Amino acid sequence: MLKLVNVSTFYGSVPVLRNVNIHVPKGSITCLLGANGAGKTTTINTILGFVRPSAGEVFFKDNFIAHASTEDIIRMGIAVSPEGRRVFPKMTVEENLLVGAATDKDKARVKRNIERAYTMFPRLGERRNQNAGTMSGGEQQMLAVSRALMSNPEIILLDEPSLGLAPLVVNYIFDTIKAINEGGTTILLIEQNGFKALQLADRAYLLQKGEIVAECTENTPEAKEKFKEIYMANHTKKDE
Amino acid sequence: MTVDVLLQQFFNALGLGVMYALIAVGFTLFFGVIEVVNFAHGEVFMLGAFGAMVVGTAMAGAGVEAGSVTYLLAVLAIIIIVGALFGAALEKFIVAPMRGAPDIMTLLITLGASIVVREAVMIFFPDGRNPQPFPQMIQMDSFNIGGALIKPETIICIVISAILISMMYWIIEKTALGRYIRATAQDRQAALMMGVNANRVFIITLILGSVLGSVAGLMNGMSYGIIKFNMGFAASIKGFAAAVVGGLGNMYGAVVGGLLLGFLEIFVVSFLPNGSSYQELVAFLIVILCLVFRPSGLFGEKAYDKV
Repeated sequence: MLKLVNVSTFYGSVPVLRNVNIHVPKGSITCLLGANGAGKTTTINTILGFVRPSAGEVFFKDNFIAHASTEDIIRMGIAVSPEGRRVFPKMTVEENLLVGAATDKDKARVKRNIERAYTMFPRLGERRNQNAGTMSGGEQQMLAVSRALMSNPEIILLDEPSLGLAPLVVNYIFDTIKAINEGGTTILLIEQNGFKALQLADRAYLLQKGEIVAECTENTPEAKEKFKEIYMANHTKKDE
Repeated sequence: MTVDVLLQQFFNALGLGVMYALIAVGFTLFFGVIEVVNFAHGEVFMLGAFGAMVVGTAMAGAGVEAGSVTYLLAVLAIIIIVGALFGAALEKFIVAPMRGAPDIMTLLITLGASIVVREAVMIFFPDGRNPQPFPQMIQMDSFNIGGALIKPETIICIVISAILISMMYWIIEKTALGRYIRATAQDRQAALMMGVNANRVFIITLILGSVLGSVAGLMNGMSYGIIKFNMGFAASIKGFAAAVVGGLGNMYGAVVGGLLLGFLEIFVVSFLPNGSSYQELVAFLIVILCLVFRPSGLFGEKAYDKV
């Protein structure tokens, strides 16, 4: 569904992504792991058209999107829950959701989607008229995910949904991610702390200093185990 | 001090205050949403006044009774179009090309645009160097409120401003467009990530703010009966002062800031000995005081508090 082929991205003359190949098949949960500064968020920004790759191509449903506008990319069916949640702090929960539906002209469907969000996260329903900036981190993350779902995306890019959240809340968010995926939405999950994400994932990539250093393309225990070993080795190396 | 004098000054201050408020709302919107300080904003004020004069004179020449209700409404409609065109042109030719450039560049280019427009009117408008008489927009007797005689122009200005500001409130708070404007002001990149068309938001913001500015120009002409090519300069300083007092980016703060400035000026003029010589100082003084003691404005909250 979403494919990055030999993508290289520069900030100025500094390479941030080098020859990155990622394939997110339809219906999968694909996980992109990597330490701080590995290029995870740049990958997202490249997919969304905020930065242009200097080489390579991004495909979405067999369309080239590397040079499309962000608005068109969102319209095609990609949605994002950005790193740090980025909810609109001085707008209510409901207004945040409505902005999430900026590309949807069908009012009845927008209304249904809002109700769906409140069913999925009853907490959001209780706080629908509260300013998003006054909510807890977990609630803001729920809002960020729900807001991304408002545009009826075929794929959601989740950028570190567990960042700064308590373990219990993380479990809750991850359960929801699984449920969203089972509802038919493809997911690209980007995480720094990968073990939890790996349990969920069908596929996984490990990004290090802008390069994919390991990938796990089969959803089998052996393949995952092997990937985990590489990931662990990387992880501990980083910690030293 | 008698009640009628107080009432008189109250309405004078209100009339002046709403005019400043209209200009200030433009400044604060541009800053909050587009993150530019638009120094050309005073020129839309001037163009509004000159446009109203040209249209008004032409209509009177064509036989429409000067000062009738149709006359005023027609002038108002055309001034709104003038403001909208100015705002759209500003975005297309001045602000959009500078997107991504350092703030100081945008600031300088709007200052440049302001000088070009001002001097062009001075040079190319017939007798543009001199003050121009403004046609009478309404024929009505003064209102007698509690013994004070209030000019109909003052009342009309207050009413028009109240309508415009209410409409702005409605657009910003209640419509989808307003939600996109607020979202862009609070977190531009996140708004883009939701598929909000930021370019559309920018041009609409400039149009809305400029329309308020041009109508303020019309109101200025109505109130004083005389307009001049360089009237936009002082107006933009007053409007900017009001916006700073209210906290740049805060629309309601700008309205309050405008009213406050109007009341302070009238207070200085009418209650201090030889006060009218100090009228122009008030705006500068409160900007300085504000920047020293309350840099985020009277209602300043956190940095994200925009629109």
